[in-house]
Amino acid sequence: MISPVMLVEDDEDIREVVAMALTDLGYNVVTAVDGVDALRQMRGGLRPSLVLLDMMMPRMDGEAFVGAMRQHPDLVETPVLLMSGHQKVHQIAQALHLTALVKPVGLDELRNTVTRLVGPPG
Amino acid sequence: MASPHTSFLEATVEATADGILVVDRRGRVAFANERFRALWDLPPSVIDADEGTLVTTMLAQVEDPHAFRAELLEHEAVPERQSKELVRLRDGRVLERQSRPQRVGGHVVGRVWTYRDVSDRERLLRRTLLLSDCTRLLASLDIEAALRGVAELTVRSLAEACAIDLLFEKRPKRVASISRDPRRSFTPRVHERVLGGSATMYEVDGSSYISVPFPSKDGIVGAMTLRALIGRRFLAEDLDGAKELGRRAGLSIENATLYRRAQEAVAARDEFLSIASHEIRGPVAALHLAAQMLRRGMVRPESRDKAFAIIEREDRRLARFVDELLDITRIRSGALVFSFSPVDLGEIVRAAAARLEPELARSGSHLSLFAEEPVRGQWDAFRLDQVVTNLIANAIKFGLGRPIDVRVTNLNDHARLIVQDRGLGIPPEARERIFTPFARGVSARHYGGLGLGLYIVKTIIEGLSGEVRVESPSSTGTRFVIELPKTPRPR
Repeated sequence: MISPVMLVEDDEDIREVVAMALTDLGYNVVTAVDGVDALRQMRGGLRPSLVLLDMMMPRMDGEAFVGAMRQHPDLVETPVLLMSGHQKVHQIAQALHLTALVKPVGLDELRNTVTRLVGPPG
Repeated sequence: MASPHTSFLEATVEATADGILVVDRRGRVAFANERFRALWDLPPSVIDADEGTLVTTMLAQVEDPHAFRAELLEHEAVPERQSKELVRLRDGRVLERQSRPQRVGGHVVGRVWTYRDVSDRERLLRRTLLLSDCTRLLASLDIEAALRGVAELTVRSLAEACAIDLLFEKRPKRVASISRDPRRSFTPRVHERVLGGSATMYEVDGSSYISVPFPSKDGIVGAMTLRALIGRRFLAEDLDGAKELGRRAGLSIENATLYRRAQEAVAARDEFLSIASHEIRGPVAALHLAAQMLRRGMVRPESRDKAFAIIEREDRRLARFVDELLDITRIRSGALVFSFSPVDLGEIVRAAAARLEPELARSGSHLSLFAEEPVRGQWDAFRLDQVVTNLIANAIKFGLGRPIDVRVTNLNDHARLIVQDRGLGIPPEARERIFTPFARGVSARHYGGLGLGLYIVKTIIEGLSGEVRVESPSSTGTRFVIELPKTPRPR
């Protein structure tokens, strides 16, 4: 079983629709409602092939989450794709050495970027 | 009897405003007029005594005896020398001294010294220079640094010590305190009369003080307190100069304040635009993806309802943002109008709670409604619904999935609405701020929203002659209380 793509997003509608799109493209998708939830799943042994991450979330924002996730040796190299409506998302992504997509994201853009980062769905 | 020629000379040297002293080449006093004695406050005996006694008496009066003596020696060594310079006395006077050799038949036989009191001219010059230097400093928008510079210049120019305070609602904050003698600290209290707006000259323990306000359109925004040089007294003209300096400092503080406010307004607007664009991109992102998937037939039949529900919800969310922005425009332009009719507050609350049922279910919070029998008043149903919806939506958003209570109480002439959650709560220092536009009790990094909801709530409630307040009854949770008269008072 290929390792799943993890979607960390507090907005339920966006989470649902992005998960729907990725599933339809053939990816195995797991979701988390925020950084705290995502870290808990990772502590439980989840090793995603890619993390799609919102920036602005209650409890723990995207930046803090990336910092915490990188503490784990297994997750140092895991690619992270930032998805945010924040105007400065590209600057933030650059500072964290991550890839970024600005919301609203088109289906093709989403597919192309995910494929580039983890390869086509297996 | 003196010849006409001699008497003319005598009359002239005595009538002139200059003090004249003539010495021979051996340093003996050949002549001194009355004015010279008066300027140096000399008894006749000193003039008649040897030059050493005269010089000693003069040295005791000058500010820099070392330099004074050096100049005398230089003149002695070079009999041909001519000179013109200022001599500062310890009592504050400034004398202009000129010196030229006395010649007979081409030979130098002595030296003529003249002394003229130029204290007024020097004071005026010094004050003008000080004022212009300070004005240049005060053009800066970094007002505290500018005022420190002013204090330094003032001490260098006319005072022994200077302290400058900025006043915030009559509470002074000292931004500069400088003393010529660093061992003597200068910590005067701002004079009561200055707080009232008047400049004043006073004495404490034998020292002379001046204190002036910095006036501005917003009242007194600062004060400067000066202590005179040791052994000196301030004069009325010093007070005038300090007052003028105070006026300029006040103007400068006013400019800096206006500039800072403009900057803050621009920063608040930029932050709002950045948040608004983020908030609008969220729903658009969901709408965009859902619509694309439906059009490409990518949605499985069993998920179609879900996709449409997302589109509907996000469409409503966008509509709410647009409504809030329109309301702000209306409030700002004074165009928020109310249409009054008999309204049951309980019913409004029930309807709003029912409409928010999906959000409640998703958040995990359970809402308990305690509403007495009809609580009717003359209100604006649409605007009241907005208030109730905003407060319940906030409770859901910050309620951490815990129970929410909404209570409607019928009191004599007014109704009370309480919306209480058991969530994040609002720290005391943020409780005022949350009702101002674009403000938020929590960081925009973590929680979305335009930051307009509670401002709109407050504006509507005040428009209905009511009042809204926030309480955090314990460490967790927030309680909004609204008191609403059943008949709005005419405004």
